[in-house]
Amino acid sequence: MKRENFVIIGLFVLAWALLLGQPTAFGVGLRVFFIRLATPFERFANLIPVIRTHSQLADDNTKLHDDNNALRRQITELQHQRAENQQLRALLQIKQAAPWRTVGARVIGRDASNWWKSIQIDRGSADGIRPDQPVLSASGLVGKTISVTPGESRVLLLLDPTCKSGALLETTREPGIVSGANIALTREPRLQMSFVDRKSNVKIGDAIYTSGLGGVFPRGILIGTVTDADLDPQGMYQNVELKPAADFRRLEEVMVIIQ
Amino acid sequence: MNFLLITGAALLLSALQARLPTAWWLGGIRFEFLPALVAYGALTFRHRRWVIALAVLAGLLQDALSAAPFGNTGAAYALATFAFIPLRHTFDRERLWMQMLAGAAASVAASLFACATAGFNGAVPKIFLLAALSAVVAPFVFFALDYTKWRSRHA
Repeated sequence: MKRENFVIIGLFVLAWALLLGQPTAFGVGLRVFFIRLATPFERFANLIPVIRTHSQLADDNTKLHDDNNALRRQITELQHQRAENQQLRALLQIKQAAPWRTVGARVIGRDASNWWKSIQIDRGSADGIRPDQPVLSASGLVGKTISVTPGESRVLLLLDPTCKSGALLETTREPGIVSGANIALTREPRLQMSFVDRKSNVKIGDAIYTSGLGGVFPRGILIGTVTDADLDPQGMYQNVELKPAADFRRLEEVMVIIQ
Repeated sequence: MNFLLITGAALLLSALQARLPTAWWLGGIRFEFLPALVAYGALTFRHRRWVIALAVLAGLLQDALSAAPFGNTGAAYALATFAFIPLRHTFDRERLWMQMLAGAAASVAASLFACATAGFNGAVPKIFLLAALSAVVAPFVFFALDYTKWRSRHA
């Protein structure tokens, strides 16, 4: 077989995975189109007595399959709506409890490069957003705005090594600076807290909050929890690794503190 | 190739690159299509100025949809194309390995420029993985653009 044929087959498989593997309006529309295309032929086959019994069974089977698929689709949609509802309720609770003025936004894009960690949100300067404003999710700190247009903003995630926040250990009130762990390959997003005194008693599971120092992030926002802490034998500080409170894998709605 | 078509392709590929989810199962990386587009331009366009223009356009689009310093990737792609231009007189662009090599080289150039800004801490495996993925993506992009070009000529 020629190379072009392999490529065509590959493209077909890719298109199938992208278009029909997802419950998109286009995928559903395409399916309905093919069903309508095939239905006249199916009805014609039903007129032939010999294969009527088989066709009835096939009809029942197809109907049950269709019902099953419709129910599955409904379950998926309801699960999606429930998750979204929970996220929005959590954000609303934070908004009501917090002393800040906030703007809710949806995530509309990720970073186009693999070497930086940022997202794009659907609110911009027209909604009062300016660069260097903190961004939160329902679970905790997400990052800060870096570039703003009237309709959308780019948010530098806390996972990026260039995004730094002053932080405090909840139990010992030990200060430090939290930033993205590194730029290497990683299966789990991780943060690191640097400049933590080597004598400080850091325990796994300790919560870490923003300290309010630095002028960008207000005090008292949850950043994450300690997952690992080790002493550098020759250094003055401890190396503390954190699991971020915000779920960076599933960021959909966020809140920007505008005042 | 029609400049409007290649601009459309660059916009489409950059938007796709920014929209696709992060592959955490693959070490938290994202699929990149623009290195393949840059490689396509470098091995296809007759005039050097169009090659460089496309490289810069692709790089700037990528930077605009990223937290990267604006112009970083544009410069990387533009420099990478200088390496391809002499090669296209030596090697056949229709060869699969040539397309893959060009895609990988554009990716490595962009990675090195990014690391020069962000740091090289633990970056080497990521550079190799990204280059390998760009190499895999390149023939598909070449085929899609060649086909589009052929269709536009025979429409």
